[in-house]
Amino acid sequence: MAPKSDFYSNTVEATRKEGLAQKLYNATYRQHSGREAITPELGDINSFRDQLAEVRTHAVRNLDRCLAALADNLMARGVQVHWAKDAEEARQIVLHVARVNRVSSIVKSKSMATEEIELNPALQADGLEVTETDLGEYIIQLAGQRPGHIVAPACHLSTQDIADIFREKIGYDGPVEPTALTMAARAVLREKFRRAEMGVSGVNFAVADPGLLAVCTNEGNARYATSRRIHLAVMGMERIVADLAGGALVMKMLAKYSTGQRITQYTNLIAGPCPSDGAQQVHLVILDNGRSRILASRYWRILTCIRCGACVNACPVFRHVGGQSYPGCYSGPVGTILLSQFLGLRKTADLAKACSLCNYCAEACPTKMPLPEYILSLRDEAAREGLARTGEATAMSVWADVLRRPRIYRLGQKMMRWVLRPLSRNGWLSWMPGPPGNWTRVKDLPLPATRSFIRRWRSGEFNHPENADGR
Amino acid sequence: MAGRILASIRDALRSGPVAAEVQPQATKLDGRLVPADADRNRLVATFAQRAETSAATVHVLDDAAKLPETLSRIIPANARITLCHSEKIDPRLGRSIVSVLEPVGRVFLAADLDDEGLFRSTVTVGPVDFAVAETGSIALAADPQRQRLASLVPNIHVAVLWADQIVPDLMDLDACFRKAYGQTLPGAVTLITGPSKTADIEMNLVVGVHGPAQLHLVVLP
Repeated sequence: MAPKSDFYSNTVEATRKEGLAQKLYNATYRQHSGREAITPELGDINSFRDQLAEVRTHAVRNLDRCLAALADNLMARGVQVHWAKDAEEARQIVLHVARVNRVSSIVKSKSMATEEIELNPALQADGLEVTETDLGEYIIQLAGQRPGHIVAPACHLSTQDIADIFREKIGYDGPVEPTALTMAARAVLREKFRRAEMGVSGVNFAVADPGLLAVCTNEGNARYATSRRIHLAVMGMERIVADLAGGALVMKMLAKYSTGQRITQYTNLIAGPCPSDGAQQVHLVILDNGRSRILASRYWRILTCIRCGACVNACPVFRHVGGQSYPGCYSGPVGTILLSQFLGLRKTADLAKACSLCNYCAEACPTKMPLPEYILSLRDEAAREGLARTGEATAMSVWADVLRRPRIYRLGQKMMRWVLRPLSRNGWLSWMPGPPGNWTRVKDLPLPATRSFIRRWRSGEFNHPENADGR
Repeated sequence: MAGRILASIRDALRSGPVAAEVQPQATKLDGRLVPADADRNRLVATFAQRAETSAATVHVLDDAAKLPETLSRIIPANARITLCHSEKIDPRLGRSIVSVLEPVGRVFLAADLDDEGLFRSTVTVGPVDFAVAETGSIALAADPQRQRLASLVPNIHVAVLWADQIVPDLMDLDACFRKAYGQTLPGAVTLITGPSKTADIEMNLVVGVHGPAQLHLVVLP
């Protein structure tokens, strides 16, 4: 039996936060409708999704060969390739590179892999100055928060919130207005870029042959981060395609599915050091951190994810609770699967249970990952491992017993209406006592119908086509 | 370490369901959105339209002789210009770009500037390696003219390209790389599509967050 998780209490808190749902809705809806506006340009959208799924599943099926080719090709160009089994090894590699090169100041472009390994605190503990340079990441770094969305990290904050953060942390005294705030951040970050000896980035995808690391941003911050004396990229080991045609397909799909653009404004393709106009040293950290375990499991298709965030934007649960509620840097449907594998089911069973199984994420996903099936499977595993909350297992076994006994079921139906009617007003329940009150606190429930579906079915009401809608 | 991780990947591939669920060979991709045989006019028109929806400003010239006049219109007075073109005479233009720009503002060759000098420039003018009609993108490689960094730091970036440098589709990337760079890829190639932008504050679009606020694409015939 598991206690209520942090996720559970965070969601309760989130639904009570004034204005949060509206901000999340604005952000996710904007990106979601951007995607719906641009994807028709693909013509046969489904065929493109199939092709992307194939490119990615093929890379995952041949992951050993793809990674070996990538490492060989990059090393031939002078890139130093490091392999990290887990977060601690990855952090130590980055620290080592910074130390040997006597680095004091690091600029980072947005990278979920470095969030996953909690790199910043480790670097700061070693006395290094680390600055996030993606505007959204910079804002949440100043605020001391975790990203609230894998694509739009500060989407849970209002312009006023951000102005308050800038006032307190960087002495901002301009208007509460996005352009002025952005220009204030630009001025601070310009200096950081200029002074930094090292840039740390993620990898949106790598191409095995020819060996290339793709780092995409709209702001141009990764162009700086990849042009300092040392560039170090941290890559989740599954983020790879076999060849440039596959890379071109990811480029076509990634921006369309994340922000509704045809392509990200800046796509950097890094093959190696370039002393005259780029980094003198390039390092790549290939991160396992539980991925080979996922590869061996039934959840392996989550490794075909391109981190576009389309499922996050589609998710009605995410739209209400936000990324800050989740127990890690990933959120939404893809986060539910990833965190269950990274953190274990004991800490994450509630994530899968929060799902309404609406299937919207599966329809949104450009690589056709079976997200709802995976979530159901997690629930099944949780039940088998006895991770139900107090009362939940009992309630479910009573429910199962009742369903197996039609007479008791029908009696229960009748009694339900009889019991609930005094609590209702105009056919709706707005309050119930005990645990069912958790439902009516956030949603009204209609009173059960006078005539049950079975009675209406038996009476032949549905036999006539004109009555088929069941009114 | 490489061996240990690759070994655990091979174990996972052997013991897990992946191999049974996926064909070993991928089928050939057909992800083209602009046909390979599109004619020059169509490529220029698609390139211009796509670049403009990404907030770039496109100037399609019917005569290369109009370049000086176009550049003087784009570049504000008293500009400090970083130039990524070579000083030599451009055979197709019949003159060097330096000579075109000298009446317009103070011109510095990117290769001669240190970081400090680059960061002080207000406009960068440079060539492109190739361009893509499908997305309205231009490609720049890291090179001794420092065009990657030089095109990032100023407020205005002006790219001068010839119509025949525009290829139809991102699917042509492989062929483009071979044609522009031969057997050895440059250390870094950046595809640029419109100016620097962000929507990180409540989804409000702001241009010029880290890179240029204006991207001008001058297409010569």
